[in-house]
Amino acid sequence: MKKANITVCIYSNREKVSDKIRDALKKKPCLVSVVRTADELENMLNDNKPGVLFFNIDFEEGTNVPVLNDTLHNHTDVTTILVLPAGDIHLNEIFEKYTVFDFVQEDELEPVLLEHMLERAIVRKTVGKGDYYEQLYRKSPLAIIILNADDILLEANEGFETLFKYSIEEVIGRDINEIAVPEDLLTEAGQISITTLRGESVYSETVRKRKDGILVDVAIYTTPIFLQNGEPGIYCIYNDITDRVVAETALARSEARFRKIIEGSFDVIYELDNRGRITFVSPTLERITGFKPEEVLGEEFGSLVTEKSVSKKEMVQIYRLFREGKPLEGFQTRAYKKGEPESRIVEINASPIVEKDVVIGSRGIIRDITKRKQTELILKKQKQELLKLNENLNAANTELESFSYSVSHDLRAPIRHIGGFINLLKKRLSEEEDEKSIRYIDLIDEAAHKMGILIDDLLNFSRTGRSELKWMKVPLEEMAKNVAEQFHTEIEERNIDFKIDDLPEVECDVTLMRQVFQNLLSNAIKYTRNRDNPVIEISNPMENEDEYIISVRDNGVGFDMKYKNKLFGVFQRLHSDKEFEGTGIGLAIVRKIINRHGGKTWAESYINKGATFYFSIPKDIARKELNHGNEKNPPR
Amino acid sequence: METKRILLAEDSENDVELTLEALSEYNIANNVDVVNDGEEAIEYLYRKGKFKDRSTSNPVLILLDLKMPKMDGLEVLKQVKSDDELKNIPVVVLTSSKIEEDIIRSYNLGANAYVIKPVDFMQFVEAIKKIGAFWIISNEPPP
Repeated sequence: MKKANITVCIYSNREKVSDKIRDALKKKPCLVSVVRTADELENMLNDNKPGVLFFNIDFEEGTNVPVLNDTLHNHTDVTTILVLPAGDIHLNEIFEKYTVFDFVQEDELEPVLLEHMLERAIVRKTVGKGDYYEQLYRKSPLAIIILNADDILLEANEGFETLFKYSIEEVIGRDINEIAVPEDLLTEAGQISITTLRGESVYSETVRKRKDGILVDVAIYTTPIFLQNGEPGIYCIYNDITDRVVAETALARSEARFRKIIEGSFDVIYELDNRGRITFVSPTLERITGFKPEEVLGEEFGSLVTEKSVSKKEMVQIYRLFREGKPLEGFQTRAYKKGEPESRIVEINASPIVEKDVVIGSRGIIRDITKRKQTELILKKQKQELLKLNENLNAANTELESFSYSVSHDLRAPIRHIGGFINLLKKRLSEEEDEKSIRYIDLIDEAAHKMGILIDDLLNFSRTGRSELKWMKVPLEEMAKNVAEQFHTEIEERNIDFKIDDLPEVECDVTLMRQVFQNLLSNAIKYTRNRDNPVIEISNPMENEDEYIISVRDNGVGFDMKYKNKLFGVFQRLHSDKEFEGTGIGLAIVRKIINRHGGKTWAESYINKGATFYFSIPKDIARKELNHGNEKNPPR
Repeated sequence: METKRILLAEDSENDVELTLEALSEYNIANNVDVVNDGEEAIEYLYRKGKFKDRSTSNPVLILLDLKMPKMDGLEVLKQVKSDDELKNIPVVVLTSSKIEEDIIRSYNLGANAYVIKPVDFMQFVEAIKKIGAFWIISNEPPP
């Protein structure tokens, strides 16, 4: 705080009070005079106006209240401090009633308080006298300088110190261009000075240099003034706009990025106001409608796809959605390109723009889905074709089923009849003892019998392909033991070395899987018939991540590996009926069942060294090749 | 005492002959009345058409083939088992059909037995003889 001499007048008719004030202020460099009467006060105020007046008022006597009123009214430039009696008084009332600078009670006249009051009064005085404007200039957060016509710095404020890192003393009298202007901007700075001196204010956003060499983004405002000596000068303000520039640069980059995204998008991106008029649309629009964005701005929403393609009714619905702040999803319509007869199919999506719970418009995209539609059309056509093919396939299957049925019923009957009558005939013939005839009859009987078995086998085979699979977890070991039980007579009689290893639990159809074991076991038993020490082993020789593998190994006659492909075919046999009876359906059924479970079948063998049959069962039921036959009930 | 009658509904003449041949071993072939389709079976049972003058009592057993012209065996079975007068007559379905669906439907409609005609003649004779022996000789028919 700048110290200043000030005159203080104490108006009090009591010495005790005036002395106390005087004492309290004795450390302050001020001139104190005391007046006792209203007249003395009047003279003092008129002749030797004090800066501060301590007015001791005595409400009990009430004599000097009018004096106070007069003083406050006539001498507004005097800073008046009321000195009030001690005790309980309504300070607020008084303060409202009299426009005084401050007040103090008689029992509070301590140096600390009075000194402080005086200082405040001095500040008020000083400021009031024009230093006020100096303060505005000096304390401004903006950097302010005054230059003469030669760009010499005459004055600088604290803001300049802060911005340019120079102290004021360092720069006064120096050329501003040397201090603060980067070399490459000297011409520009010179231009600003020239323009200003010519009498124009200049605003410029540019770069200036700090004392430490760092460049700062500044806004410069200059205006011509007259200096104290009457010469023209420049009043110049710098505003640090670094933050703004950084923000603006970031904004510009981000804007450029989004612009590129929007312009590069194949979709048309648009914005509408709350009345459905176009406020923004991306340039892609031209690709779809042939119109440039600026041609449709302010137009109705329908202009985005050319009006005729969206009906009035649809329009009303769309606007309602917009108003209610609901999204428009997957609205498909045609868009006509200017000057082209063919339309394109577009899909329009929009979502509302909501600000403070009010729908102020909507924005969305228009996508050309012509190609997608075309693809969909092709797919639809292909699907229909597939459905048709499938229908044909189903019809063929149905036909096959009814064929099976008629095989079941119609073919079996005549076979039965042949067999039946042959038997009746034989009874009669034996009486006549025609040996040759009897032999022929036996052969016919045998043939009929064989045919009957073939027909039954074929039916069994077709049934394994058609029945619905009932999936459940089955412990194969238990199942294999169970099946082996059926053959126990033969196993015991022939003293077969029969082994069942640990087998896994798998997901399968119980009935069909039992059939697999039955067929494989009966084969093994059959083809080891000529062995002295037959061995049959069911095991789980390996397994991998995806499947279990089960094998049935025997030490029977085996087969030649070059026929391994024939092995699983329907009615394929590698032995004559004389060697081993059979129709050749067993392994075909095994393969069919395992295939339906999603597994594979194969075999290994060496002639006379036995054979091993393998099948695999997938672990994951989802990967299984499930029922490929159609599961309709057979026709009756 | 009136002889116990058997109704054989069978369209195949061959099967009729073979069936009768098998039953002849028990001397019950003469008790068999033969009809050749479902319609005739119904006419027989209700004494209609050419059977309107049938004086015999209702059969103690119906041997019913499934696949017959006009009205098939299942329809006959359905009719018989839904008629209070007839439903107590045992019905043995005698057919070539091994189709599961046929077996299930037959039992659902109230068939008393379902016999698949064996392809082998000797087995066929055996089956027919057993049926005859059981239903005609052993079984006590409803009063």
